[in-house]
Amino acid sequence: MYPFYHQLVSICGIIYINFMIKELILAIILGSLLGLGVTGGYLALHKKDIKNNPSKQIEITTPTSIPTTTISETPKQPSQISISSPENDALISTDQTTIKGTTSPNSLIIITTASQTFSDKSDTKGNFSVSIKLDSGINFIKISAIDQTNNQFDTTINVTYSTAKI
Amino acid sequence: MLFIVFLFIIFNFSVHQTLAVTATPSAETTQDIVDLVQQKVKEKLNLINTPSTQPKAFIGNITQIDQTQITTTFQNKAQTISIGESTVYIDIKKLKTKFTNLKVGQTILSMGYLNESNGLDAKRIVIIDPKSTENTNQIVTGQIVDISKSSPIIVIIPLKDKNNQYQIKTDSKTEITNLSGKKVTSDSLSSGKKVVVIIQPDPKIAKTFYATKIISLESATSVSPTPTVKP
Repeated sequence: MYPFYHQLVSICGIIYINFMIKELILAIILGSLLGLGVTGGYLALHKKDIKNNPSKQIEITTPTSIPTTTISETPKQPSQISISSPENDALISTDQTTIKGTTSPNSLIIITTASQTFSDKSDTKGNFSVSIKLDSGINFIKISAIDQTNNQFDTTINVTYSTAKI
Repeated sequence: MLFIVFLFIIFNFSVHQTLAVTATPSAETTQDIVDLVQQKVKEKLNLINTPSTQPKAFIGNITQIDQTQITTTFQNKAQTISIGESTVYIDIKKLKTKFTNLKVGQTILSMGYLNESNGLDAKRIVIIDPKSTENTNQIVTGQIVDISKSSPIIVIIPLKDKNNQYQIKTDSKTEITNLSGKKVTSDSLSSGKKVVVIIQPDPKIAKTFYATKIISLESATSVSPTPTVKP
């Protein structure tokens, strides 16, 4: 058996700890309530903004989504001229080929070989497709696009027409 | 106390729901970007790594020759041409010739297929005269600053380079059209009008050009509709 004063100290200790635990729990609850109240109040105030402006919502959560939105929504506005077909240095076995490419919308397209000139217009998206006749052997093809404000963009491709078997 | 716990649960639930709604689209968008980039990179890598199945023809001046390959340059770009026993050689007169007749400085047109190291496995090599294949046409967008009524000469200042000017001769073969491609007469050309000219240098007179085609950039004047008489 423990002496009486030992039991008294233990009881006092337990009472003291009980008080501390109660204070601790109370502090946690009050802190949580305060934090939740502030957060809840903020969300309640901005709920309308988040619903009405989804891009802002994405912007807040993942800023990386912004460039994708920009890329998909920005219309293509090529400032120059690019040729998709035929490839540069292509070897073709027929004397006809079609020059396909992209430039500004509604541009005047002029294509020259050493012996001939061809002209057409790009469509509203800037695409063009012009059939041309090739000279025998190598063709240094000059292609120019003149846009609606009379800016001229030039490019060249080399295409060889040969019927020789390789 | 129970009320507080209840409030806490309700609040937690609503926050989780809000976060779930906001996070889902962004995660999908990010995944879409990653997928798209991966797909594009794969396509480009395939293009780079796969030897072309399309035949190619390279023009260039011979800078080096050895037993298995020729090096050519064209517009400061070097190209390696691999040769083999089956390679056919054609001289400037379009007759078959031998590999030994190839010399440094000659211009050749090499035809064949690209190999993995982007060299050309040549099947046919033709010695050519570079001048005979030259495209001397020039396409110039400019403004007419002078047009002679007595002689077929027009003077044009290019829009790109206003310090320059072109003396351009025309004749009956010169095709003159409007923007729609419709043929018009030379009377429709006048000082101040903007045109695109396709010209070739006159071999006899320096700084003088001959126009093969002139396209007027001025839009056609609007024609008022002719009234029709109704019976």
